[in-house]
Amino acid sequence: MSVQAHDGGQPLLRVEGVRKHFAFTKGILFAKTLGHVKAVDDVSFDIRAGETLGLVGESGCGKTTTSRMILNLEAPTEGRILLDGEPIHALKGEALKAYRTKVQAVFQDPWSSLNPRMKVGRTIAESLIVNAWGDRARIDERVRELLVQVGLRPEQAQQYPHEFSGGQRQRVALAAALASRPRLIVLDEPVSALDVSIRAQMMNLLKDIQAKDDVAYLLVAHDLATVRHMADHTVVMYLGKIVERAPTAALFDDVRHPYTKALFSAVLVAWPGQAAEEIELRGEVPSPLDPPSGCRFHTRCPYVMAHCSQREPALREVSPDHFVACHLFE
Amino acid sequence: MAIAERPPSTDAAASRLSLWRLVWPARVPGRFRRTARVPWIPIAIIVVIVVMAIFAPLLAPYSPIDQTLRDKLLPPAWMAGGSDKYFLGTDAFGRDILSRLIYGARVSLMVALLALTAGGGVGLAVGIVAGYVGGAVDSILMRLVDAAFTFPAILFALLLAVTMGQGFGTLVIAISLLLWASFARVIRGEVLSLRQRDFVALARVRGCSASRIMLTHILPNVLNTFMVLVTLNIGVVIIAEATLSFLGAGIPPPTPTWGLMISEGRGRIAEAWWVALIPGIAITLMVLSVNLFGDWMRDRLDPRLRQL
Repeated sequence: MSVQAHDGGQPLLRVEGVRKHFAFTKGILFAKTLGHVKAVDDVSFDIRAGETLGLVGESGCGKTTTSRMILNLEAPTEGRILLDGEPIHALKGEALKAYRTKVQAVFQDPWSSLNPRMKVGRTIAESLIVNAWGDRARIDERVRELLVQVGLRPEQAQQYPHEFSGGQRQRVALAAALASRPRLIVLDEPVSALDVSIRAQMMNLLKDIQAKDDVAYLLVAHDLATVRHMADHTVVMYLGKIVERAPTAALFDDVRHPYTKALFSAVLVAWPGQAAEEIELRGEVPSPLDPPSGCRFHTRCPYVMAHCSQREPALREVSPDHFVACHLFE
Repeated sequence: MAIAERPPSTDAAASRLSLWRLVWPARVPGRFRRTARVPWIPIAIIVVIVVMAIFAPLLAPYSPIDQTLRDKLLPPAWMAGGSDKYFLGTDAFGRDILSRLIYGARVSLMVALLALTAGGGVGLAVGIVAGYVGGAVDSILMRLVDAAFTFPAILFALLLAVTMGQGFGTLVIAISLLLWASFARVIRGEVLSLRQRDFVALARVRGCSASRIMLTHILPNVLNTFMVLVTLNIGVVIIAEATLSFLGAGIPPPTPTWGLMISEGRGRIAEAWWVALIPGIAITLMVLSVNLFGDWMRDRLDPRLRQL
């Protein structure tokens, strides 16, 4: 995080009060809107240059939607996202193209993220080709360099995706993401589809690249071990809202929010020394179409109080840089 | 989404040779029930007809249009009254049926080739654009497709023949109009599922324009489906050409086409059945062969299309 010194404290990426509501409609010709799925509801956080932010939560909590908005694949219903102080959803033409070189992604499913009819070298070169980065020889050279960087052989550029294993495909996807030397890579569950034996390899590769290229990561994961290993800061989401946000070390030392505690209880075996309270979550995640009133977690919270269902808790700083949205800490 | 991987082909049973099995592709029991046998007889028939079409002037014993009225309505050579000169007999104008059949293959295949290129190409483009762009563009294009389906194709072709005049061009246009909508619909469905795949989203993230994504990411991935559709539609085109020629909206006489030959023989089917029946058999053999071949192609290239 050496960059922080000279960027004047301005974050690389700022997410400001972002909401994403999907209309839920019925009928085809004269569709009626029956309601809105509040996939992401008032989410704010910063990512600093060269650091890793972990985004944790159960499936359906809005973490993938958040990452798709950061990738400018979807526009937020409300709020804005700024890269270097510039709102990204207002970008057009050349400015949008420039943005595309700065923010890249690696997705979860290595079987779906490579075009089966395209040589991997071409996939890796794609962002260089569309941005007219250089002539053919230079692009080929860069592709070979990237393949070596992710631990593959340069001549594998001529192969098709079906000739690779899942782990190798994920390396190819990473090489493609690195091609344009981005400043931020959104890693949407980058290792969860991989065998446990190659997860560590992939994570270490990601860390090495970060140390060398000073790239920031947004690590979307449901797996706490990955986040703990990789992230500098961690954001925990539940039903479209941030419930806890803190530096990873602080969070893992001092879990505050009951939901985060529950998440930790589910994987306690990994750190037997830390066993404090065990919370078992019962029931299903409520439908985001009709989220519970007040605190969204009150239906499943073991510490539920009378006013939890009436008032929504705000994110409050409970210790330096550690924010929690829970009435227990007011 | 591991289904993109093609299962390895099972050729284990291929060693057990049986003539019947060559005709009827066998299903290999096991994890992937798929046709293992190459349909050799249909392929042979297709090859013979294609060779006939290409080398028609060399193969045909007589001119397909010159009339020898003295020899009219001769039965095939193996029948009583048949002449060795005309193996498949002659029609009402004394033209050699074998020669007309050989030249007719030329017209049928040419029409099929052009109509499938034109109609299939338009359908492919419409399907890709509608499926990828979506929204209003998709709605408009798909309503056009629906409209094309509700319109009686043969009637439309007749209308076209009346207004534009009979001819090769009219025939190709009419059949293309009949084809494009079904291509567009199938391809669109395929594109809808493709665009959900991560590599399309990642292409956007890398800065690819919509047209680049459609050309480099979507198109190569629907070509299999397209090839299968082309093969499965050869039969449809041949039938359509025959129907239109039969109805008098196809290629004007005396140029031989199979449909026209049936039409010409229809009036005398009681006394000279071979004039109509022989081109009928040719059409049946050709269409059956390309359909069997098409089924095999479909199973080989794209198991997901079984339902078509």
